[in-house]
Amino acid sequence: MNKNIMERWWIWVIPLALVLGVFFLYPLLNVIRLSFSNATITTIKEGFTFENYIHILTGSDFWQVMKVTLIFVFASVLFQLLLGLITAMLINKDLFGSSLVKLSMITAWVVPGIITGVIWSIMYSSSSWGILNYFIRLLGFDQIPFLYTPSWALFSVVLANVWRGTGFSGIMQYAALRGIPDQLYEAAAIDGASTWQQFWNITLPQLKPMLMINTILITIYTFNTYDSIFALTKGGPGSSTTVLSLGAYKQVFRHLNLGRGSAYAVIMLVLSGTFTILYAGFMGSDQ
Amino acid sequence: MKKKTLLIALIVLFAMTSVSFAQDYELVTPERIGNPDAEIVLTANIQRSDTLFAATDNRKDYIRKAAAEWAKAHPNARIDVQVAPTGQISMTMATLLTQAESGNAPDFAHIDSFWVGRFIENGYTKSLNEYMGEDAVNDFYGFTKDVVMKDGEMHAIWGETDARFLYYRKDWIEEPPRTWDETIDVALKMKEEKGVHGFLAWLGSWEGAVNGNVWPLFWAQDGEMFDENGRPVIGEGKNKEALVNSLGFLKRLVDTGAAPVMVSSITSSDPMLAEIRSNNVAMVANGSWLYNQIDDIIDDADEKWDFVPLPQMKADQRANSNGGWTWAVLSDDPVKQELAADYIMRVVGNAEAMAERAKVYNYLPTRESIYENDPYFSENERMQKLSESLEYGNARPANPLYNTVSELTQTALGRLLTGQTDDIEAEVDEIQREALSEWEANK
Amino acid sequence: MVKKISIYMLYGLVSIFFLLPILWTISLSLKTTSEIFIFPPTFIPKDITFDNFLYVLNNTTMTTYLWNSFKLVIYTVFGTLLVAIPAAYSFSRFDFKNKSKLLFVILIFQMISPIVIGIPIYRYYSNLGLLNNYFGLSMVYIAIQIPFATFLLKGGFDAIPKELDEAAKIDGASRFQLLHKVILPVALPALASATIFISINAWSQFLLPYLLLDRTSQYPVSVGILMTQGNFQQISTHYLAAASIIALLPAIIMVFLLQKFILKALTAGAVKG
Repeated sequence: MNKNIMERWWIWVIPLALVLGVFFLYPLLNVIRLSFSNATITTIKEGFTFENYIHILTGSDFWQVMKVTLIFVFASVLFQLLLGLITAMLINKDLFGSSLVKLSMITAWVVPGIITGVIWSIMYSSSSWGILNYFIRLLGFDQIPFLYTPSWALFSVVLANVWRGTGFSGIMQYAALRGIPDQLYEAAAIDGASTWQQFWNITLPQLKPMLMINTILITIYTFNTYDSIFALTKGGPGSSTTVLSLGAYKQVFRHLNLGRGSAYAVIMLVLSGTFTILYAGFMGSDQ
Repeated sequence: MKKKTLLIALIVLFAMTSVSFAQDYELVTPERIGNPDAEIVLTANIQRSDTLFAATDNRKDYIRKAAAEWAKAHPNARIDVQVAPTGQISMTMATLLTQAESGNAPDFAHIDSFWVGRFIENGYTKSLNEYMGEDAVNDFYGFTKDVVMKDGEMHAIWGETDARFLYYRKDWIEEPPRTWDETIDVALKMKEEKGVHGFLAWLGSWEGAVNGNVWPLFWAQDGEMFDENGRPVIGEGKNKEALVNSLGFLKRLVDTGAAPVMVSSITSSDPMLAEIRSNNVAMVANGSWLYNQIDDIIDDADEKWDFVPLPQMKADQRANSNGGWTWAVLSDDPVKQELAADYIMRVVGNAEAMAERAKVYNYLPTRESIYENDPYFSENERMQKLSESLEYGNARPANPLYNTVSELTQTALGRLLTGQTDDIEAEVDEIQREALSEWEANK
Repeated sequence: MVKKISIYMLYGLVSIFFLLPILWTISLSLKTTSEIFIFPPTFIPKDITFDNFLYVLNNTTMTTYLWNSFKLVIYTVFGTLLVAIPAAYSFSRFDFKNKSKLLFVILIFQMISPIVIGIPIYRYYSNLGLLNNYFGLSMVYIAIQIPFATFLLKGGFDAIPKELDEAAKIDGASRFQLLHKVILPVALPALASATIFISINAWSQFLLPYLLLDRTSQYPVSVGILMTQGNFQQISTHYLAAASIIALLPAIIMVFLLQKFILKALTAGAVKG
């Protein structure tokens, strides 16, 4: 009997189901309920309302936030993948010094978001400790307003995020590169394929599954990022670097509007869910 | 023989001191005040600056001394201190509110003056009148009482305040500006002549930007954010005009080049102090604390810097914005209430404590009598100049929607300063529209 | 040769990109108050001072924060593995209907931001008296790590040939023995890489500990760093730099010491994805 039970697949999944149910599903349902309520941090009585969604979707700010979020996510993901791929291919050469690159990449990756923000706000400063602007002046250019014009500020939060996120992407792709059998390249070399052709016909297709997974993970991760932006710009100037998660944070902790913050959160969920399903669709059709 | 006696005496003395040393505990530690084995345990949420984690040794000494007196007076009680991080005011305050709602609030708390109204309104705070006496209650400046009084009862002690001024290079500028137009003229002249920034202020995306640099201008024109029913009116009638004017001035500063665009990202003193130190700025609009900071980083502060009231639209207008922190008792237990109130009075509330703390902390006291009775304040010209400005004091309204209005104004200011829009009126309309919709949703 | 040189140059560029922010922060953390205001800035401080570090260590409980972070990481790693290993085993070795769909559903949990669940959990915990409680906090950390850990471990288990199981089964091993004696020892690289991912994610959590802990003495370092930030009554850039370095030091030392191992573990565990 005992043995029989252990032969059932679900018995092994019970702990997982319990933890996810209590700490994800229940709060999640709660958030959805709150998003249809007029709750603030201090109200106890709540009424049912669609007002949160109507307000958010008709507000001018929301579309600005959406735009910023999409740019932030798209640019971060693109550059993390690209830079990660380039770095992975570089260290795959295994020349002397490649371990320094690996080391530096992993180091950036272990920096927590808040500290990333703190460090980069020092880097970007226009004051004497702003090293980037010092270099730029050395090169004979004018100071760059990293954090105080809308487009530069968006650029700056993306750069900081790419700095931190590339380590993960690079290592995963490096792992995938290592997994490509050497015979494939040897065979291609015999057939006289150029480096570029080898990259295009062997490396990329072989990397594809990892690139996909990587893209999903980075996208989700970037979508939920707010701590580094918070420490860098607090979402400003104006709302030029306010992404959805920061918007939710502001609604809850500055406006104390639990209902509206929850509605933001639900919109976030829907969006990242859509991303995930889209990618999954790509992957499914591929296999 | 004598030697021996001496030796024995020394040994006994040593033994005694080491015994008493062994029994003694530190009365005040960063996260505990009083007897560690006390029966009555109070909890308190206090900002870092008022704990032993405070930035400077003299602050720590002040807290250690004042808290130890409380601990000695109540050997059967102790306070467990939750130290709140300084940079996260809204988060700490929101958490405190949630705790108060669910009955988990600490027994007393350090609450930002523009949040305390919400605690009072919701009935989370306790009256302090019986622990203070009427004279003490009456001694506080009017702008503090506007916020912390409810039905004639004082619900929180407003421990200190600050005020906003225009700091200027007196060795460069003969006649400090009094109006907006003069400010821009002087700033441009300085930029031209000296090749420095004409004007700096922390106009980044944060509370300090509006509190320090928008509301004083807005209030000087008799602007009001909310009507007596708590309805937002900031974007209606004369208020709208006042806000449009105020934002317009700040925008003009940047557009004309009187202030660099950099101001739209400044959210701390550091970048301004960096410019001050390198002689690269002529005027800085900032708080009463700045003078001592300047004094810390340059040798000849007295010869270079002076301050005047903030320039206003017209020379005869005047208003200040006054921040500060309050202390409120949240406990339901009468015993704890008394103990908490006693702590607050000993550390911040009593006239002597407040004066002493203000000196140590570089704050302004909120009790009028201190400026008359304490020589440090009554005989110092600079202090009198600071205290005079408290007559024009204003506190941010204790309206639950204040945060929303502030946040919206910060965003609008950022957009205007960085050229994302030029339509000031539309921005003000948007502030009004958003605030109103939130007000209607929560009515 | 030209190719090699250009690769080396790229190595240099990439390393500078990743290391410059940290090196510059170290440089600032060793400067005196007046030197941080000097322009042009000096890379190697003229008078190297450790005062900033002393200041931060004396005035904040940075060491306590580090210790707290460490504890939370340990709890999270153990808790997550405890839950994720059996689940990953089930997904790897059992066949059942809708398996891939279920796995996908679990992965979907991964996309939920901590900010979304933080608020209800706060209300929920304050009723249960689980605020300021490492057990309560670790459970949420664990829940957040489970989806990815399960996914990673399943990949690792899949890579182990089923013939190994079959051989052990014939010897009469139970499922539990199979997992314990056959799979886990072989899946060590996958376990190691899961541990590393979990540790790094748990180390960087910010919002949850901030919401669910009020006691400064319980804060992990990601929240504790805020204690040194934002006191506008004084110049703080150099202190902030020192605090950042202190907060990063344990993680950086780990990376230095375990670099080879980390890479090996990650690549071995990740090949199958």
